[in-house]
Amino acid sequence: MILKNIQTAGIKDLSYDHLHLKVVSDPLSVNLINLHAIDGIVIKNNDHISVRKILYQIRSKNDPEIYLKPIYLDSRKLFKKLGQEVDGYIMEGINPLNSSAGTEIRERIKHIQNDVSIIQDYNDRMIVKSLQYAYTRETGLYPYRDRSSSIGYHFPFLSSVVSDKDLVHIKSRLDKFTGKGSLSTVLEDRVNLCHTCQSSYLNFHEACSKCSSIDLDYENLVHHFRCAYIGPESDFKNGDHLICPKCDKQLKHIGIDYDKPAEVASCNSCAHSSQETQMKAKCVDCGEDNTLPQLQTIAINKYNLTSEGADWILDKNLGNEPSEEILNDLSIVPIPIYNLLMEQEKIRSGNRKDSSSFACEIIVDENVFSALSEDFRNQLKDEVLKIMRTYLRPIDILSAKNAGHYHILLPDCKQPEAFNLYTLVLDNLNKLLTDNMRSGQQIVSGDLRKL
Amino acid sequence: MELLSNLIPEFLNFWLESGLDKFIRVFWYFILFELTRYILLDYVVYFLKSLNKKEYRIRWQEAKSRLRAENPLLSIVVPGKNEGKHLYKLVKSLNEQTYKNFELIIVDDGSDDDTPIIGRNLEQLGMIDLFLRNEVRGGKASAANLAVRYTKGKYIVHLDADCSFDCDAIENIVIPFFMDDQIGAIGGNVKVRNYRTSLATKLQAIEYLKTISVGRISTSYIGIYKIISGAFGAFRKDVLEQVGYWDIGPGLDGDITVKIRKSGYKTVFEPSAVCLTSAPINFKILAKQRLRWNKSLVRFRLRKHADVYRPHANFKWLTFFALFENVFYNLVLDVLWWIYLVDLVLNFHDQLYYVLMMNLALYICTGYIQMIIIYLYSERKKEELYLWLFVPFMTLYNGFFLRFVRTRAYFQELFFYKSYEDPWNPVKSSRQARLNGF
Repeated sequence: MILKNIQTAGIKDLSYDHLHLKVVSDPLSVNLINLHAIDGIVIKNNDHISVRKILYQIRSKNDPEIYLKPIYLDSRKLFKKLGQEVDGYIMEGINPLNSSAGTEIRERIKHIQNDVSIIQDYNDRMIVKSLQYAYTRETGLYPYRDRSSSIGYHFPFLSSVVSDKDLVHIKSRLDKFTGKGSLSTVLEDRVNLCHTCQSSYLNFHEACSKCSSIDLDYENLVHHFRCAYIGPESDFKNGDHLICPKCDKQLKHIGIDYDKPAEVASCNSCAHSSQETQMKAKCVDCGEDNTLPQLQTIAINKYNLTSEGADWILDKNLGNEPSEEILNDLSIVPIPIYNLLMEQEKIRSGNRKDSSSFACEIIVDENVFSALSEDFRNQLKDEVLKIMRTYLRPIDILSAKNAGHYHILLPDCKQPEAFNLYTLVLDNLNKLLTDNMRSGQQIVSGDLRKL
Repeated sequence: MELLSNLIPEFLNFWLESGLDKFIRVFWYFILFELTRYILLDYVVYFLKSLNKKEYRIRWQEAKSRLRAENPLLSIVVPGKNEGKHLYKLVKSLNEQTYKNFELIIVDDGSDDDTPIIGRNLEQLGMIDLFLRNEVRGGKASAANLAVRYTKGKYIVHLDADCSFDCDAIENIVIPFFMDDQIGAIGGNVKVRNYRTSLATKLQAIEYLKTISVGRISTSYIGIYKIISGAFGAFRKDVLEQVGYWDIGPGLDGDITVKIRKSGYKTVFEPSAVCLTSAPINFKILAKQRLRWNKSLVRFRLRKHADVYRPHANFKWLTFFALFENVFYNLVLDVLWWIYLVDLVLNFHDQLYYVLMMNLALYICTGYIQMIIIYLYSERKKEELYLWLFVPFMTLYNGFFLRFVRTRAYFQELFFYKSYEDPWNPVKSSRQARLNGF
């Protein structure tokens, strides 16, 4: 059955030099292949959307051996469009594929031995993966222009795994990492986005300052020096000539008889005339009329990994990534130290019959944080920490993998007391988050165990 | 002190012994022209107005009711250059008005300061209905004409940006339109705001009270009112269209008043529509301003509107008298005054001391007599009492300073057409005006 599926999905083998490649043409067929067993994939499909789907199938996996796998196209035309997302193209008769580059990529993939799945936030996980991708390709995260992107730019790897809307959010996270020294940037462009749908497909036009209509006519003002009459050019128009409506003289020579000192816009909807029109940007995607101050302007940067950033994405314990500002809180113990303390406490309490210690884990649903803007995320993190501190004793040790994943060590604690503490924290966090998120579901879960 | 105590009886004795005949012979200029025009006329008009006071008040109230019932849109136009600093205060002053149905149009005539920024901001904030800017300066007339071109109101109120207004000024200035259909334009009562700043402003404040507040009540009453101040005037829009709006200045306010009168409409002065303006704070700036104003008398009253003095189909006696009075009391009497001075020197050189002393006494006395009528008419009686202290200086101010400036202006304009070189107007406009004989 599997073999039959593989045959109908049009999966073919291709050997090139000493590389073993699979040729796929259908997004569904990717799941039928043992991706560990091959050196790369050739996508044989001319449809841009289908290629994106295949890329998503591969790049969204959590195994670096798979999501960083070299991918090639067999269409030169499509390569022009998606060249930044793949490692080259292969065409019958012409083989521009650099097999040594493929080997190098595979070698660098071997440096990555961490597990990105421990990063709870989806967008953060995708950032790490895309930086790892850039690392393995010995390049940076360079945006490329693409009209199909709602922000006008795509980022290699990232655009295959996140929506355009999330790309705006991810960009702000990337800028945060830049601030922490993990990335360096070069400004590529600035893009204006619709304030409701974050699309850059905007149509700028002048509108009436009174009724916002775009049905405006612009006319030069004509000033007749002789009689001081001044009015729009249409007042003077008489066939091919300009005749002053006040003194009936013909205006012959600009600069001698008359000049045009300004321009006035007249609205055909409300008949208001003004020199001060308002600039509006109509979003072609959602139809929203944005005023200029409403537009969200974002910088499109080229990102390069710094040595610090490279250390971070290769770090086995990605949960300690430097971006989480929660870790800047000195009262929160880093995970490795927490693990060490827990081991010591286990030994200590094991030696004493009258003593018991507990460890608990609190996990907040990852959608809670990813749905929030940066400011609200930070506020929520503060509140979560505040609640936990309210109930914990001074001797309890708090650690966090990220903003939604906490470990608490409760030394010298009787079981009822530990259970009481655990339920208090859990219930109050649930109350806080369900009230604020207007969700009926349990969004904080946890676990309590004796050491 | 002893000298003074001897001089006064000697002086009085001289004039008592000289008799009335000699007094008239020496002071014919004062008795014939100044006493009649500036004292007698004002008091007679005051008396006549007092007789009809009650009736006039009823008519005024009826007109006010009609105005409120109709509630027409007024278009306030403010043309100017580099007036940005005054705009906010002006807008605030207008916001306090009892009459609310107006649009405010400001024209920036090629300012080279922050006026466009201020104007655009006020427009965006909705404090100005329309802010128009000529990138190239065209002169005050063209700026006013541009503003009127975009007005929607039935009546146009023309203001200067550096003015502020009594809270009922805008309402009061248009009420006369509802009293008489033949009224085409109404002049407001312009007073000096900065009268405490310097001697120059104090003297101008007295001068404005005499010539504008009281003088124009009299001329308006007898139907020869001939200048609607550019600082504060109201016009019927259809009348403005008929006369072709403003022509090239300087002196465009007087010019348009004459044009309206020539078209058969009445022009009246409304003393209760009070506007305060900033007067030049020193005599140098004042002299410049007055040179410009006085040149325009020759250019417009004598040259451009010379047809008013000639009999023709549209000849109007009142318009003739309005301009004749203006030209006579300013230009003709100015020349006559120099002749009078020569007469005094030649014929009374040995008694010049007594003559000058008496002259001074006469002018100071008439100054205070004028102040009494100002007081009777004024709505700011207490504040204006402060100016009484400075009335003696008016003899020098009127008799010498203004006279010298006037003479110089007439000389320059009559013989050298200097008004066409005035930087107040752009060269391109002045050149065309000169070419076409305006």
